[in-house]
Amino acid sequence: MKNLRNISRSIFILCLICLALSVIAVFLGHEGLALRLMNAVYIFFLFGTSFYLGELFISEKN
Amino acid sequence: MRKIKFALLTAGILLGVFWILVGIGPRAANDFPFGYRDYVKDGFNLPQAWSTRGNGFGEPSISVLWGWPLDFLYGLGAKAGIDFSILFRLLGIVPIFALGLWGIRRLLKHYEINPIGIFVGSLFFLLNTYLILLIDGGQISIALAYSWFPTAFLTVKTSIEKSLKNKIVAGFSVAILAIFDIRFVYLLVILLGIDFVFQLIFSSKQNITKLFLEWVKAGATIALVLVGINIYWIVPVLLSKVSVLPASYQDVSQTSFLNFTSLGHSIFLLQPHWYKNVFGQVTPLLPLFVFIPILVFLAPILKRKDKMVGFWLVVAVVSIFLVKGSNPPFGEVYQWLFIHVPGFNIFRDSTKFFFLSAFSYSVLIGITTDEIVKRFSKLKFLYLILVTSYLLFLIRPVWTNQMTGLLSVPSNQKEYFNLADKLESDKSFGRILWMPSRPPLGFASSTHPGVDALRLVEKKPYASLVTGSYELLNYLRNPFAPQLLDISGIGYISYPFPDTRREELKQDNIDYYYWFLNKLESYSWLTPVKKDGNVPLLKVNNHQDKFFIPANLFWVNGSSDIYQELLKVPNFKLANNAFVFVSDNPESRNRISDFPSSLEWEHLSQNDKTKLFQLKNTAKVTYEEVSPTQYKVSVEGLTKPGVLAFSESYDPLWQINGKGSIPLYGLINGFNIEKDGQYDVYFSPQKYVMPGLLVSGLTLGMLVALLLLK
Repeated sequence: MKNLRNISRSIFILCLICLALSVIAVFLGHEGLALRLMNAVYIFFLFGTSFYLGELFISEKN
Repeated sequence: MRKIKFALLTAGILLGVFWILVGIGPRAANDFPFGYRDYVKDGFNLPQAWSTRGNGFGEPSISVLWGWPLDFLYGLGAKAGIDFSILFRLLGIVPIFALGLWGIRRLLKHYEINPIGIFVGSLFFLLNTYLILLIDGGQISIALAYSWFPTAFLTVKTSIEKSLKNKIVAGFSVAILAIFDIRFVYLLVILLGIDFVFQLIFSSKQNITKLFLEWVKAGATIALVLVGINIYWIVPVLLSKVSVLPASYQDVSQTSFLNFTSLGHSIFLLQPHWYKNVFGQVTPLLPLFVFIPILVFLAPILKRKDKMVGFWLVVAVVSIFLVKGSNPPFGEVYQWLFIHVPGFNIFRDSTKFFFLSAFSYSVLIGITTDEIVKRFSKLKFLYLILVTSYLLFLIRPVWTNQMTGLLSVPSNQKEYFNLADKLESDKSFGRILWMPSRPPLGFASSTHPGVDALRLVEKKPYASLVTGSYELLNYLRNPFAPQLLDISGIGYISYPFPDTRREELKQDNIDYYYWFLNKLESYSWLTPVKKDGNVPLLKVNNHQDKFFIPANLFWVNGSSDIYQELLKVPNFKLANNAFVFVSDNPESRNRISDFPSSLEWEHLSQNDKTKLFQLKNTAKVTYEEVSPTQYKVSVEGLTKPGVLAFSESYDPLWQINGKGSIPLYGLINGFNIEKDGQYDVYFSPQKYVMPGLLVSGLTLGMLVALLLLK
């Protein structure tokens, strides 16, 4: 359980990296790549939120 | 003191950004046409189940009567002599910003966010592209719902564990949200549903039953207050069986047709029509907006294991997914929800979910700011200046006067107001056909309702005159058009030059405009009233009044395609010969026996028809409009039983002596009349409005008394 503690933070950081990459892709005119990266942003956001809730649940129950 | 300073600073920034609305000049948008005084005054009335405002031919308005209190206030203001330009600022613009600022600041304060966080969160809530385009597009009541939403949410949330009085107040706040736009009560239910599940998960086992009961009590009280206050339109909807939503709301393909929001727009909270707000012209993803999601995603990184952050993250995840509607990824989910979840079809346009996105983003940005200020207190003013400048830079089309709707000075003002003066001086009934559709400053009144030429194509008789599918307005060049316009009571045609701020005109478009206009001016059935300038006006030489009596009534087994045949008959006049097309309205066949004077088209020889076409009606009709749902009609000089034509959109709920109308020409209403006399023509669902209004009034009175006594 302890290993799970900071997973959400890492996922949100990945989310931010993908966001930055997608903007670079837009600047460079790679619309298709930007779209895929945007999907990745959302998926990381979704997982980040799930892990955040998981961590919150564990800390509340403890 | 510091809090007041920040509130004043926000108000000052808003004033600076929306300077275009300061003053008393007219402003208008496609969804918020300028209200000429007589039309606005009509709002000072009891709720009316029929309205000619949206569509000059009239349509049932029961399903939108939830907004009646606002109409009433506009009507009251107009009666008191206040100009519409001032009224919409007093009842629309000022409340949008005042209620929005007050509501979001209260909510953020409730979450114990520091004043700088509250400032940044509120600024984002009021300066995002979604709200700005709501205002610019003229969707004022939706913008009001948006600004009231935080208050409604907070009032309900805080009432759950409190007394009955608090629950009634929460009911009132939801009822106010329903007045602005009833669809947002649905969004509030979604948000509260997420909150309920969230609390359920995080509460201890002993508390679950208590929590559940408290929510049920609060939910029941609020629902009772909401239904009690709105009973004046719920009763007519239930008893008259009028369809609550137009047919297009049942059509799942609408979710694709109306959807331009990609996942990128949704994450960046960038309204896809930013900033010109022209339907279908989608703005590409603007990289500068990237700092918005960055500020949002920083909240869970900076604030760990916090229930508030967790809740608003869930709201953001859900709303981002819903905003993009049927677009990838997993667009089928939205379509599934549209078909299977009761009530979800009111969101055929998924951008309404920007509402929840903007709300959750504002709270999360407030939290991020709060955390940054706590950690880097020395840099807080630099941060404040940077974020404020960034938000202002994103919306620069507003303060640099590049918007095209309500946030701009309308073009050709003088011409439109001159035209309005001309039309106001004509006291006889006659609709105005606006080509291609009524412009924001286009005149309309109850004597001269405005009709969109493009919407006429949706009506079968007009559709039958359209050639091809590229240029829809060519029905006006069909030789049969004057006959149809005659029975439709169209008195004027106006064809304004396109608004070049919203349309990029090529030489071809300009040539086409002048060619079509010259063509219209050359027709003998039209007389140019105003030729020069950008808003030309033509008068239709012959048109019927709202009520008229055709000499013959024919029942036709076929459809309105016979109009092309009738063109060949010399001196044929459609207004003298009413037709009921049975194949378009099969149920009308059962009504033949109610019209003893009518004739079956297929049983007549060509000779009979030619003779009948020579007949002319000699009866005289006069009428008085008691209200949009009731007319007193006098008929004199009727020599045989006949049909009274009433040129409002056909609806079988229009009645004379308890008998419903039949569809004349596949377009308007027809009633059987046997002899001279006075007839009462009324829209039957209206009879349920008054008892409903009484119950609503009593509920409101009792609840206010209860609140005062407690």
